[in-house]
Amino acid sequence: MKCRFHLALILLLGCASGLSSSDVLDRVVAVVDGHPILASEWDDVVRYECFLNQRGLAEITIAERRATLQRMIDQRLIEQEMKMEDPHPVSAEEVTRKVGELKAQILHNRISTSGTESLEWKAALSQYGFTPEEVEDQVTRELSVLRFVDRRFRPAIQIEPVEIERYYRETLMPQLEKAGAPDPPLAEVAAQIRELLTQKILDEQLNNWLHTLRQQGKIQMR
Amino acid sequence: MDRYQGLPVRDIQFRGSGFEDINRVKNLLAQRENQPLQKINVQKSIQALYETGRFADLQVEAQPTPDAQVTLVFVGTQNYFVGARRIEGHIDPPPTANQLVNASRLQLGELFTDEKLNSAIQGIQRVLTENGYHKAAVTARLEKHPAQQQVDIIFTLIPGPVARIGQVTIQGNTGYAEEEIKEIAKIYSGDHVSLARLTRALENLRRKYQKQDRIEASVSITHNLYHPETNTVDYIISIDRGPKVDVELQGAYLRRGLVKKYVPLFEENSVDEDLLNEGRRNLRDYFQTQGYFDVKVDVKQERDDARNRLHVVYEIDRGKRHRLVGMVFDGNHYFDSELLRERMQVQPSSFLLSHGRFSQSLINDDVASIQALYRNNGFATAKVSAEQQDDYRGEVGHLRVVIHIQEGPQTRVQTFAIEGNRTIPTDVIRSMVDTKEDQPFSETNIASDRDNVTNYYFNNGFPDVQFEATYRQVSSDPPRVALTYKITEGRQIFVDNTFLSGLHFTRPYVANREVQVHKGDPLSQAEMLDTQRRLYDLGIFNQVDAAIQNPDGEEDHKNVLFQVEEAKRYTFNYGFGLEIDSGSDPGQSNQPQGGTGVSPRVSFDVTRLNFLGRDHTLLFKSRYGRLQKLALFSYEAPRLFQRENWNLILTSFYDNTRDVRTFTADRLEGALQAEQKYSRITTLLYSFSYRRVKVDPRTLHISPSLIPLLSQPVRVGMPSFTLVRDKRDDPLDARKGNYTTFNFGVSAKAFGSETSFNKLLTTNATYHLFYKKRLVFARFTEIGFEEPFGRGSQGIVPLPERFFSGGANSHRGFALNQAGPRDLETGFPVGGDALFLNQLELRLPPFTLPYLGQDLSPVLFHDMGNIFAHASDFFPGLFRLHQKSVSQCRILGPLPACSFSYNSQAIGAGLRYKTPIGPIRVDVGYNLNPPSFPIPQQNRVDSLKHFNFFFSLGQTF
Repeated sequence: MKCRFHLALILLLGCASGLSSSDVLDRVVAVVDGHPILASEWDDVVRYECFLNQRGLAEITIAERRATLQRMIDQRLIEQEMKMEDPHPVSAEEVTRKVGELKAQILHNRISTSGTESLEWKAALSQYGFTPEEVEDQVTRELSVLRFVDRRFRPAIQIEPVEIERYYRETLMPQLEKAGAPDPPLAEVAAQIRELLTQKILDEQLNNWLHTLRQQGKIQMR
Repeated sequence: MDRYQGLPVRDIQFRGSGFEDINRVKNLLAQRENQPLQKINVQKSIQALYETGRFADLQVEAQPTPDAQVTLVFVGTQNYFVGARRIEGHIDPPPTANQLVNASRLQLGELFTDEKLNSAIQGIQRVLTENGYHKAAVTARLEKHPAQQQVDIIFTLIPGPVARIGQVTIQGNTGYAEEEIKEIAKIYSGDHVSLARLTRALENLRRKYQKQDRIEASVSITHNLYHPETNTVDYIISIDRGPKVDVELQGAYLRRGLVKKYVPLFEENSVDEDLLNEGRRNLRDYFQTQGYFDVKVDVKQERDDARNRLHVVYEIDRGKRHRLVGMVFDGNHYFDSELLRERMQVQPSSFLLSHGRFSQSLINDDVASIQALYRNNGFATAKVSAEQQDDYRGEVGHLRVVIHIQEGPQTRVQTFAIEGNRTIPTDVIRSMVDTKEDQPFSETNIASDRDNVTNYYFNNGFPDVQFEATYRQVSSDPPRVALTYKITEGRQIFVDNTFLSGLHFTRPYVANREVQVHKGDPLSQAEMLDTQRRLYDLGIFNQVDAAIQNPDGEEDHKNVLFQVEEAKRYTFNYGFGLEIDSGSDPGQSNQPQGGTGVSPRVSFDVTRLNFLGRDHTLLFKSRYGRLQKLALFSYEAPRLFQRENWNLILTSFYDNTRDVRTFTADRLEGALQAEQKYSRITTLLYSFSYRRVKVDPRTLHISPSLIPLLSQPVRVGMPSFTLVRDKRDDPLDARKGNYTTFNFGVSAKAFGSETSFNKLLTTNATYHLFYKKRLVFARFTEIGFEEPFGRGSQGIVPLPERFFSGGANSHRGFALNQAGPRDLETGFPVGGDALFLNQLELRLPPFTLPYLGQDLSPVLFHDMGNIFAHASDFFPGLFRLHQKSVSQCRILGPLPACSFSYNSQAIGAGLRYKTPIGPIRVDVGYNLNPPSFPIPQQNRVDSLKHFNFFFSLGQTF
């Protein structure tokens, strides 16, 4: 009796699912100042990040997916600011160079299965469901945002020689001593230290700015 | 998604969208029917739909079909937009319902969200609390209109008892006892809490300290504590009275009022470096305008903490006094000196400005202004400087200013192009811009063109239009530029639907016909404002809000909302007062030239708006006093025959007024008038008036033999026609144009009259600007005839129907209604059957005066004309400049033969003080040939006065 009841229930559910045969293709998952982020876009970025890190999609946790969505929101906020400024488009050469670097990085870690690099690259992309054009689009978008952030903050960042010297003395030297590496002269590493310190400040300023943008903007999660 | 990629899309459907025009929506989508499904197109479609702003949530579903195709269904949850906002529940203001609606900060047409609703309730609650309604409960009821995606929000208030003031604690250095402070502030425990009361209390305290010159006094409520159990609020008022500030002027005297005017410490109630320096500059400018052009002003502060005083000293070294004896221009060719002089604030000495007007800041401003004038006319390298020549021609203190102008070459536009306009033709744009080829190149013209073009685009549905003007030099000698206007039109927005709400008593068609925004039209801000103005003009709405629904949504068809609030339909006005009339007190005066009557007066008016749900108005008006008894009932119906240019007015009234100095008349009148606005300048009036006028024999100051004839009640039925042509530039203060009226009426038995006469009255006024458009010559001519006919008339026109003349708005050689024939027994004016008046005025440019600026201007005038007893006296009298046989008028016989048929002349002068409602007028008229007349009743002969004074509002004509 119990078995027959279960069977009837399974059939009923089966019929019901057969009747509602529509699939949700896409939907709005977040809204940034009135502009939607779609579930399909979110999936694309998650896949792209998996591709960059050569991770399997199944490995991605829900928390990681949510973190990706938050990064997309940050990117949208910056892109809205970009629309208000004069455009400084990324050139095709820059994109090609960056894609080349990416290709080298990805293929370096892969065991070759086909003869040519081109086929190998396509295989790597198709594993994550990308075409070369889609990756170029992603790269272009990233480079545009990076350029905008750089143009906005870098000119105002001034690193004094005394700060470079302090970093060399108080941070780099102890690290090298600990690692047993030889001490390079300050003049040799000053430019790298300057860039490192600049990046650090730039990151801080970017984080503060994003915090402000999030407060000023209207972000809705669905 | 991958499963459906590339399958043909058989159909696209929408669920929960409420879209009226599905095809228009489908055009927004990148994914089209009968095309293979593409992921990127589906993404773009859902983004485009969402960005219309119409959805709170949106997803797209795919339904496979048996023939291996797919149906796409966009499933949305609608957004709602703010509609009417109303307050329900009685509350004694303040706050008013409008203040509470404003406190909600919900704007008509904006996206409605729960967060905004919560914030609105908090805002209302805050205003209620500020006004003592601490226990008020505010809830909101939503009335959704899915078809319009609009939600009306009705806030329901339960105000609860108003809180009372509990304990008031005073803190700080007050200089008074606590009780004294409360007395000054007029704030007492037990009073109802209200924002106005608290604001007034603080203001009272501040004013008290400011009167003691403690202008930095700080008074504020620093803490308040509400006690729900007693419904009272305790307040702590913190006071720092600050130092006593003395402002002293050393080296010159200035009366206290002027010091307060020029030293802004008193106005700003603060002492800081900026204000002290502003005071220094103001004082310097003041003394410079008084002729002390070299004045030096320094300021210093001395703080005496022990005595809590701040001493501000302005040290003034006036130097020698100057007179600006001349101001000349040198090097100007393009503009003449007169034009430049008009733009100058600096003025040479004159009769009214004995030292002229000059200061360093004024001359700097003038130089900059003239330089800007040249630059705006293409003189890009123009240089203007001012040279001050002191002790001019050896006269100590005489100053002459020479304005040196180096015009340089004038840049002209060689080629002018307009680019980027896709929708608006170039010809249309060219017609609205000032810039043309071969014209001077002017930044001001470009700015004005920018405004004209962008406004035109805005009003044609292009909210994002951008305008950029670029130019490049194509020739340096002579300088020529190629000018290009680049227009980026952006998207065009159209009207989807218009929704007008808030009508309760008004018939919808009455309001709807005023809506100038129509479905499918380009969205125009000007038409929305025009609709708003027309709805206000109906006179039946208190408030008209106009807004675009979903303003942030990126759709190209928008709904336009009009939300009206009907005015209260009944208005009652009642009053009690005193009336003073320059006519004689009825039955009391025995002065032929009149006296002044005074009487208490009560009034009661009722107005009924929105009669029959239309913009028709009923009015009852009444006055009761000894000088005037009036009851008036009128019905005004605009848009007669459904025509915008036709109005109907029905009036009936009873009037017992002493409007001329000979009699008091009881007038019972009914009138019907249709007004046709034939064109912008021409108005036609068709009227029929029916009146019964009875003269009170007790008030009739005329010969007893005439009393039966003139005092008998007369019923007059008169159809009349009036033509008005108004081509004046400003009806309140015309400077050019002309104004003509023509009125003709017939009173006859056929119209129910007891007396038969016809009446013709025509006026014509012209206005001319001359002498560099600085002077106005104005002329006004009025000619009127009345002619009795038929047997019933007994050859006379009844007294109340006759012409009278004289007064501020008539012949200024006579006091009010004193012109023309007079009763040869009592000497009182009796009016006449013909009228002639010709007025000439020379309206001079304004004086430049201290304080009054350029608001006061003089007028010279000449008035001539008179009232003639009969139409046949008109022409003979017109060419007679003196009273005929004056000696006859000085005989006190039983039947003196005194004639008043002559053209009386008056000259005079007046002043006009410009105000926003028209000039205030003072005139003095001198009658060159006033009439003499006998008063046998008093056994004396009298003559009218030569001088007459008038005070009035508005130009004479």
